[in-house]
Amino acid sequence: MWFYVARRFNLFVLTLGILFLLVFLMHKALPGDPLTNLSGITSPTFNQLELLDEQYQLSGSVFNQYLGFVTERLSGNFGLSLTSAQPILDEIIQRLPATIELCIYAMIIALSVGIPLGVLASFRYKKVTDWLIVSMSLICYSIPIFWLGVIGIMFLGLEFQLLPVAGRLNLLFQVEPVTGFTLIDIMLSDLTSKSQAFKDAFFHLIMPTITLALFPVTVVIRITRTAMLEELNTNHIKAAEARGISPLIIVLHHALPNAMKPVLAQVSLQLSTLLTSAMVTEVIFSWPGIGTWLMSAIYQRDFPVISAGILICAGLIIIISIVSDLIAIAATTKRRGMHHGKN
Amino acid sequence: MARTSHIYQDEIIPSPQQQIWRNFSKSPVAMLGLWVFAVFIFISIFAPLLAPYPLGYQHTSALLMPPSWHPEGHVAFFFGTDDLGRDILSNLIYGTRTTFGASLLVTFIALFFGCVIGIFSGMSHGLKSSVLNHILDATLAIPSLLLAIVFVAISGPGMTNVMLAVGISLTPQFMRATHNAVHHELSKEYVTATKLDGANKSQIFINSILPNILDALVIQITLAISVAIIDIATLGFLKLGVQSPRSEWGAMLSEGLDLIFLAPWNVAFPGLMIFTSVLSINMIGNGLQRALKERID
Repeated sequence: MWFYVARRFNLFVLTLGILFLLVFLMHKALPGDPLTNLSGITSPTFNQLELLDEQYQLSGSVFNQYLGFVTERLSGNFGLSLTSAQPILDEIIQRLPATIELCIYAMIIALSVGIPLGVLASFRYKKVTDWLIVSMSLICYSIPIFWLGVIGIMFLGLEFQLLPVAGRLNLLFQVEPVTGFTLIDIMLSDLTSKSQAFKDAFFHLIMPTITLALFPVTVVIRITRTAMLEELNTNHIKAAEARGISPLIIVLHHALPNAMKPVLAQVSLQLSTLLTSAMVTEVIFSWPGIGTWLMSAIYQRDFPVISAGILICAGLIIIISIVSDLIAIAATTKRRGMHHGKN
Repeated sequence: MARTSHIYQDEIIPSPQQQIWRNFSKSPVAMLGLWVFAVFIFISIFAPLLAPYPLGYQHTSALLMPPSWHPEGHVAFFFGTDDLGRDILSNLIYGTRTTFGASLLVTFIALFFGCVIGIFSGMSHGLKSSVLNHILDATLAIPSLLLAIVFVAISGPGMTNVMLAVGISLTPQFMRATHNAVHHELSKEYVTATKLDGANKSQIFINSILPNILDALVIQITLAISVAIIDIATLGFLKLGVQSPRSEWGAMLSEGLDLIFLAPWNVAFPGLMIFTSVLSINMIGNGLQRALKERID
């Protein structure tokens, strides 16, 4: 087990190194002054110039430059934003929770809706229920997320005025950001109308979360269905059937726990898709997360922000996938025996 | 042989491809998907002949005309017009080329490069395979659309750049799929048997492995086409994609967004086109997957 953990850690460091290399190469390809693009300082004084040159090793070899880049970024120095002249790290810390909040809720919906539907489909395999669930998931899988968001805004937001269409919270409520998660912040705050603020934040969450969740729901349905069908064909299920255990107990107690492991492993692979759809969702619903921040940086050609955004998003995905991998390994002894380079 | 064939009924065992086709064509949903797909290919090839008006032609006397079945609509503009008087039907037909046609092209280019690298890394083992695997993991960790967005942000919007960006973001997925499929087959016993017969690496690959991974690749292709369509449309929607006067479904949708109250057909039809094309491809993919599964069962 510890050998495996060490190897995963090794993989983590190497993957992170390659990610940094890719972003570093991107910096090389960027138009404009390399020092400005790296640090975000548009017109540095002489002293600053000397300091920056030392930090990023610009006079050194390419390898030294890479090392300088990695050390600066790992020590939390992402430079300044070209547009706001604020430290990028502060902006990230301010905006990342909004994105994570959205993603977590969407993931919770995806798992809590997708797994039961997938189990139901496999339980009624090749019957009307199964056919209905599979075709519904196929249709929902094909809807472009931005179209769905726009239709949601058009009908629920404007036509029937049921739900707010933009932002996280009505401006009437002044909530101090402590954790960055609106619902938790409202709980912690000392507002007089706490329940109203909570309700408002919840209504703001509904549409973006459902828009974002639709795609993962269909993916979870498919994965669960496939895993369950495989599991229901194994011998221990047949033995349980032969003993006359009721089908419901077989599905819930004998098949589902085993089918869950591949499902969770597959779901962690979907994270990068989730994060990209979260970016689009944020743009549609003006959600003040990392997606809108990155998109506006792209429109304004704010290169330090763009590179920091890629590093943070991809780094997050790498960390989560390694952690979920380790959890999966801890739960299943079977997977520990894999060899180098064989996934 | 000639004599017996008249007396006894020969039992013809269909080839694997024939079996897949039989299973595939049994499902009406999959066939519907295939037909819709064929129609889209037809439209994207013959777009200039099919479109009623030239690309970007502005009818100044007919701004924001509703679709023809609307009481105020006119049959000359079947799906209505946008705020500049451009016929939506013509725009959609030309958009088929940029969104659907380009996504097909991009997929096959990405398929080529991804497969070559994937085969190379799949057939190798030990340190070389490990290193390639790590590089793959790192590229797969960067969200594909983010990669495309950044690429476009650096090199500027435009048809070629969008295609390059989407192609680059699709390639790692093909690499991973090919790598896994090759690795999976390599550990099977029939490969060991050919190895014992003295086949060299390229012989093993061409004669034993390639026929068996083709199925997995075809499914990956259908997946990739639908991803490519959505990615190109998303880039267009974020105003980073194809620039006017070329028409593109995602860009049309985002242009119509400002007029969503006045002229909802400007948003509805491009979205419907994206949805239909992606759905048809997913239907094909689903049908193929089931056909393959039935063949193996």
